[in-house]
Amino acid sequence: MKLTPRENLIRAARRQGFDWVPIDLLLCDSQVKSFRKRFGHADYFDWFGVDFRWVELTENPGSASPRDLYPREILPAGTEFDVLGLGHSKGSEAAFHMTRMHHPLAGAETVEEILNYPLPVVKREENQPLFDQVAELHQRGLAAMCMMQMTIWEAAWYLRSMEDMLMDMMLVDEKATILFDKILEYQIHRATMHAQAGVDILSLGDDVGMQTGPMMSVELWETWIKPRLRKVIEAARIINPDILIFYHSCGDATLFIEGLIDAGVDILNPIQPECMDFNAIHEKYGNRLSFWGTLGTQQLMPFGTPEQVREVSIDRIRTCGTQGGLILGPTHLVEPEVPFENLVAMKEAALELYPRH
Amino acid sequence: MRMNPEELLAKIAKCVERGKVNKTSPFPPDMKEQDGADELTVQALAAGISADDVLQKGLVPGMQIIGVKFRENKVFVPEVLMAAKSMSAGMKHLKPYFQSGAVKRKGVFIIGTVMGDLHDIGKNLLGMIVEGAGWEVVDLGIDVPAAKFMAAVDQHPGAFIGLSCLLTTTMLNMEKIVHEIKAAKPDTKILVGGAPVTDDFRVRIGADWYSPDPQGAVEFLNKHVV
Repeated sequence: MKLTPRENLIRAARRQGFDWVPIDLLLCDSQVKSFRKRFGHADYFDWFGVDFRWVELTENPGSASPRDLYPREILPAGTEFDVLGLGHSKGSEAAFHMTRMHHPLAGAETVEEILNYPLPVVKREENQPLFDQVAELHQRGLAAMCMMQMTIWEAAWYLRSMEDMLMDMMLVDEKATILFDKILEYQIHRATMHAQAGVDILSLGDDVGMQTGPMMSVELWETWIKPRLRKVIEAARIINPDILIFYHSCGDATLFIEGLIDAGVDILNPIQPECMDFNAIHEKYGNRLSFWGTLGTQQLMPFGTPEQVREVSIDRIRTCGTQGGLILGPTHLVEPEVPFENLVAMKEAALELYPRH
Repeated sequence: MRMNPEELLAKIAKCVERGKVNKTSPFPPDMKEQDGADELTVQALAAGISADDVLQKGLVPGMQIIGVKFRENKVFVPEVLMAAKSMSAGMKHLKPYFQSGAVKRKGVFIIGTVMGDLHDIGKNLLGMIVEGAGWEVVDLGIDVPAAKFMAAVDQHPGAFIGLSCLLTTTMLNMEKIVHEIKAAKPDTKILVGGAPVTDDFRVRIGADWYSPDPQGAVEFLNKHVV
C-alpha cells in the first residue's frame, strides 16, 4: 500500500490496516518554545509526522460586552473572555499557561436568565476560511480534524458551574433541560458546519471520568447527556455519513464506553493508563472502537525513561495489531516537565515496527 | 407519628445519606414530601436530643456512609453534593450550639490547591466529606503558597493540612510546600492528594498521609482526634 497521511489515519482509525502508526501530540507553550529553539521552526506536527491538522471554525461571541454576563461576580482585572463568554483570569506566575475559569450562570435563579444567555453565532458566510482550510489540507494529503470538545456536559457546567449544574440535574430542574437544549442546538450548528466543510474527524468530548471512577452515574449520564451527544453525531452524519467521531474524556471512562459506542463514537481518547486498563478495554471493545492516546502523562511521559516510553509504545502497537485502531500519543497536553527525549522515543517506537517510507 | 430518639437520629442519617435536604425538595423521588435533614434536626433538638448526639449520631453517620460509598464507586459526585447540602441543612440548626461550646468539632483541617494549580473540584469534594465527618474545614482556595498555609496554622494551632493538585507540573510545587511547612512546623501533619499523586510520591516528599479518596483522609484525621 502507498497511502497519503489522510488515508493512513482514516484507515487506522477504522481498523482497516495502515502503512505507519499514526501519532499525535499537543505541546504546551514552553515545549513549543524549546522545540523551536532546537529545530528552528514551530511546526512540530510536521517534524513528528502527524497525519492531520486542526481546522478552526469562525464564530462570533453572543455578547459584545461579556463582563455584563456576570451580574453576581466581580471579575479580577485582566480577565479575558472566550467565545462562550467564559471568563478566564490568570493565577500566580507559577500557574504558567493555566487560568481560572469563571461561570457566568453560576447562581442564576431564573429560567429567563438561562434562556436569554447569548451563545455564539455560527454563520456559513463567515466560514469560507474553514472550507478552504479543509480543501487545502486534503490537497496536501492530510486529514482535517476540528475541535468540538466540551460538547454537552462541560459546556453546560462551564457556564453554570459544576455544583449548580449537577444540582439542577439531580432535582430535575427545568433550568438543566433548557441549558442543555440551548447548547445542543448550538453544537448541532457547529457539527453541521464542520461536516459541510469536509472535516474528516469531529473531536467531541466531555470529561465524565475521575481518577478513581465515573464522575456521575451511568444512569444520570444516559438521562441527560448521551441523548444529546447522539443528536450532535447524527447531525454531522446526515451531511457526511463517513465522518469519524472522536470522543475525549479525562479520567476513568470505562463504564461509559458501551454507551459512547451506542451513541456513535468511533475513537476514544485518551485512555489514561493510570486509571484505565488499556489491554482489558482493547480486548473487550477493540473490534468496535479505536483508541487515541494511551501514553500516560501522569507517570510515563514526565517521569519514565525513553526506553520505558519505547516499551509501552511498542506494547500498545502490538496489542492493536495489523488492523490498527491506534493513534499513539501522550494522553494530555505535554507539560513543561516532559523530557523531549520521551517524545522522540514515542516517535521512534512507532517507526520501529512500521517504518515510514 | 412520634419517633423515639434512636429512630429520629437514624432518620436524620438516612436523609443525609440520600441527600434529602428538606420537605419541599423533590430529591430523592422516593422520599418526596417527607421531612428532610432540615426539619428532622429541628424535631430532634425539640425532643431534647443533645446537639452533640444530633451531630455525632445523626448527621455524621449519614455523611460517613456516603464517603464510603463514594470510595467504592457506589455513588458519585452528584450524590455527594446532595448529601453535603442535606448535612448543611441540619448543621445550620446546630450553629448556636457550636458558638456556645455545647458541641465541638473534632479539629481543624486546612485545605488548599497548591501554588500554580487552579483546579478545585477534588479539593472541594474533600472539604465537603471531611466537614461532614465533624471537622472544621478552612478552605484557602486555589493557587495557595506555603506561607498562606503556615499563616492558617498559626491561626488554628494543631490544625491538619490537606494539599491538593491535579497536574504533574504542580506536584513539584506540592513537594516544595511540604518541605517549607515541615521545616517551619515539623509537628504539623500534612495530607496530600489529587489525580497524579501516589503514596510513593507522598513518602518521597515527606508528607504524612495520602489517600486516593476523601474517606481515606477522614479515617486518618479521625485517628488523630485529640
